[in-house]
Amino acid sequence: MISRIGEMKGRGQEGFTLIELLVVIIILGVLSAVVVFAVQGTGDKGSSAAYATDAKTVRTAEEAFCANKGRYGTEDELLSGKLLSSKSDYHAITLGSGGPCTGAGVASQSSYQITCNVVEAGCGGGGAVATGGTLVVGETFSSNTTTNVASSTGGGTHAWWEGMYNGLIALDEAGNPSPELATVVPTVANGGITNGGATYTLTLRQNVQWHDSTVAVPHYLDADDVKFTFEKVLLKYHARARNMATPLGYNATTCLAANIVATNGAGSNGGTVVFNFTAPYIPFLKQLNVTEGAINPGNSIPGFTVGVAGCPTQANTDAVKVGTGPFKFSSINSPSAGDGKVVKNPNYWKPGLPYLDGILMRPYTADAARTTALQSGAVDFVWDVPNPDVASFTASSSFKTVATQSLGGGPNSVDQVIFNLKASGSSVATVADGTAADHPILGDVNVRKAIFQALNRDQYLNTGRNGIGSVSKSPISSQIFGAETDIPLPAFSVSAADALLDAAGWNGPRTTIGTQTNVRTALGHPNPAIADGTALTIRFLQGSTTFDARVAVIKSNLATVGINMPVTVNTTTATTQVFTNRDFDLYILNYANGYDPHIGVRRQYAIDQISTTGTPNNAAGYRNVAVDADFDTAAQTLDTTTRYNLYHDFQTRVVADLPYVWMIETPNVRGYTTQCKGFVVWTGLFAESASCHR
Amino acid sequence: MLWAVNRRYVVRRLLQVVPTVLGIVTLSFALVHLTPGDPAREFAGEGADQAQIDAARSYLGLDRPVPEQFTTYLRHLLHGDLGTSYAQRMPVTEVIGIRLSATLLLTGTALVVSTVAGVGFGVLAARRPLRWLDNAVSTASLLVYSLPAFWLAQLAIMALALKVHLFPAGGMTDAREAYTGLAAARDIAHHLALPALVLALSETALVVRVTRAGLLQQAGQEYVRSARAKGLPQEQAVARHALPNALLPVLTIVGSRVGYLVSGAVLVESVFGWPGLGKALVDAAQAGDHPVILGMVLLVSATVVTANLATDMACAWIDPRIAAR
Repeated sequence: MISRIGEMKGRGQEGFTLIELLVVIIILGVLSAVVVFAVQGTGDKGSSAAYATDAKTVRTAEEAFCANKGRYGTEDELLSGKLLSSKSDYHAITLGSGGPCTGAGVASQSSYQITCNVVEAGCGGGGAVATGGTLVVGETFSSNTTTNVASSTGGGTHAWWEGMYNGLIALDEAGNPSPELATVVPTVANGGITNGGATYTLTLRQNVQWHDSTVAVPHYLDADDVKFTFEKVLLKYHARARNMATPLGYNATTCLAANIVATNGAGSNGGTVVFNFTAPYIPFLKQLNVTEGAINPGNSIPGFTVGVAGCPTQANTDAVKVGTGPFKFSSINSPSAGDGKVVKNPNYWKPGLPYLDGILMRPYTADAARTTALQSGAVDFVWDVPNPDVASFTASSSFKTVATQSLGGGPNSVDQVIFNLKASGSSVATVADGTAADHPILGDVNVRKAIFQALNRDQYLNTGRNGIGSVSKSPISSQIFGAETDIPLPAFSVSAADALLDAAGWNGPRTTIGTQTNVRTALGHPNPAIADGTALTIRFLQGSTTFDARVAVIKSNLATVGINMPVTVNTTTATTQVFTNRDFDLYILNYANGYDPHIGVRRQYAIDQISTTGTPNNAAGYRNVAVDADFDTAAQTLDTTTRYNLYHDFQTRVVADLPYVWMIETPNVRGYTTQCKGFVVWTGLFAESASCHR
Repeated sequence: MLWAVNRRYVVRRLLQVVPTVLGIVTLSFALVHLTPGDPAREFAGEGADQAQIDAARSYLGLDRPVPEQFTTYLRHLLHGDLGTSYAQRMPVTEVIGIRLSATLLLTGTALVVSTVAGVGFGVLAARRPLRWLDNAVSTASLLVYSLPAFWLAQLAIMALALKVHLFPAGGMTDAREAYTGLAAARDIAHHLALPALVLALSETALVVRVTRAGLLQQAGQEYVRSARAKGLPQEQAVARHALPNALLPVLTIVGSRVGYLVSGAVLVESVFGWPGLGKALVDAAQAGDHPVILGMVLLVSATVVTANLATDMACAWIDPRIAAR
């Protein structure tokens, strides 16, 4: 070889220098890396595509079955109906409560669930259920010290701690009920609902143990626990449960509800609870799940006894930290400050559950931090994938995203722009009794309609929420009973908005305010207090920086039609400014509609919700006795068609009056690693049947 | 030592601390009480009725005249009681206490790293002015100084946590493993490295530039030339004579940063999910949690005043002419 090298040198072929070789090796290395990265994951993507196709086939079959039978079917039914040619290779089908899959106002997507059985990323993470391990959850909210979900509707509290509790009834994503701590869902047919919907009888499960139960001193759920929870906690402190206070004969001073009758089972184990409403109250079953009606142990707050007068403070109700749920309270602020931890309840009444040993909740309130935490594997699950990152997580085979209408504090939320219908500074009393003067500009329904038509809600959705959600088609969330899309909302039209403003007395010479050169002025405005030449300025009050991008769209839209809209961001006192001082023109809120219009929609319109105490709800100061009557009658009407018609009437009235602009429905997107599966994302009991393969 | 040199200076500076802190307390209390909003409503919680809000007002003493509230606050303050957090319903001292160590660890590490590295690189750069090393250090420090910390943090996470998995992307501890002893310390150090490095970088750049400028200025002074003329090697002349004087402005900068140790690094803590005081302050501000805001303002201002005092003392000790002025 040495001689051959000598020959090469002799021919002038001295080969490569060491530097040249290094350069070649580096180039080859870079190219190899590029190819490896490009090819890596191809197999995964192929598998993922197969799983996705299989899931789609099952869904299509279910929808076809639904179209024929009016309900969803089991896999065997799909096979016998020739809607599936063979059993699914990858997925299992679990039916929901069996409610109808179509029909007026009934959501059609959620009464079945398909679960992947394959142990591989891209298909839910695994087939066989793994037990043990700690699920790490990246929380959107930082407030974690209020732990009792029965005494708060705070989103943070519910997202963090619902797993410690149960309701009497469970609800699926569409709000269909199934038994939880009650043995059966009461119906007219089974005798659980009597007196035309005024009396509900719930029989409790036996042998449900509280977290503080021991072998030596077992502590079982009984009827007194339920009565205690309603009297001392729910009716006192839960903003939506308080709707039921009056019809349940509740005295907020003594914290006693005469109309709740508890009869314990033998050995204070189980029993029966009867709720005697003063009039039929149909939404009741929708207010018994863990979000709306978590059950606390009775007599657990020192100094307070079921059936005995006396009201605990909200802090008292928080100190107990005992439930019946799949996870038990473990710690706050450990191992790091801000962390919260729950551990497996070994005596959980659902056999075999939960699979996990515990959940560690860690706040990642900054969107970027939450995204990187999930990407890096620091957390397994996040409640709220930041909207700009949803697409990349969805495209990745390592993560799964699921949109849900359920938020921590209540489901089916809608962004609404609120018109102040009454003059700034009007007292609550005068707004409520109808003697307050109208707002000089927004008191005119045509101006409100003009603003509605000037707002490009598609742009608002795409710019403000990266397209995640949908433009509202009705005053009620489309996800719940009663939403009516046959009453058209004012359509986006700049020309129509301009025409309405012209006709409303805002057609004077344009003026300049700041950099906006086209601001309308008054000319012959019907309100003598508005002199000619007055600029059309409408103040926007913003109570949360969450709305920054969305409010920028509104400002830009209104500028197009010549409205000047100065924005004030006031995160600490906006509520007082709106509900006490009425010192605003436009405001924005995200209203949770709940599972029934009576729970989350009524509060936005009812006269008794014009208030500064409790949780203020009717921000517009809207007042229409006919609308109140619609809601009250609907709540007392068992017949579905009649109820539907009453909600139709309500929607007709408010679409004519336009106290709000119903902007968009705002689902949240949960995100999790495909190493974990079994989440039920629309409830705080989301990890009850979750498991993780590591 | 300084006491022996100039007692009057020390006493005068100590006496200035008392009215300064009292002024800060008064101003902070007034500002918080001038802020619109109803703390009683916040404390009573969501869904509270008027009776509960009134009870909360009475419990918090907010139904008393403001001067009486102020004297009560001062009396409690002297006993170390900063009140109760509206949002977290626990003593403010506890809210601060559980996060103080995390913040001190982060900002303290960043301060030590930035001081040591800054002085080191500053000396290196000043040894051969306008040569390649000086140019490289100066350019790099300028570049780093001009980068916003939150952006640097994002880049660091993307490169070092998400791509090469060298460090965790956030948090202070591993959430899945409950480490103890040395393993726990190692776990915290692993989580600390990236945020501390990001926080230290811009401070390092500042210290580098001040050290370099100070050294170059001192190197041209007559006393350094005299030292060289008497035969002292350049390295020793710089180390023994020029460096102590050049470090006076560095000491002032570092001293001022010590004062901000407890306030945390709001942006870096948020981006890294670091459970410190900066993040707690943001949460308190968003929740309108006045007692926590007030408590943290007091803590920060007291630390700043103390750190300034210590810095002045240190400067007077190094250069007695300062005390004599």
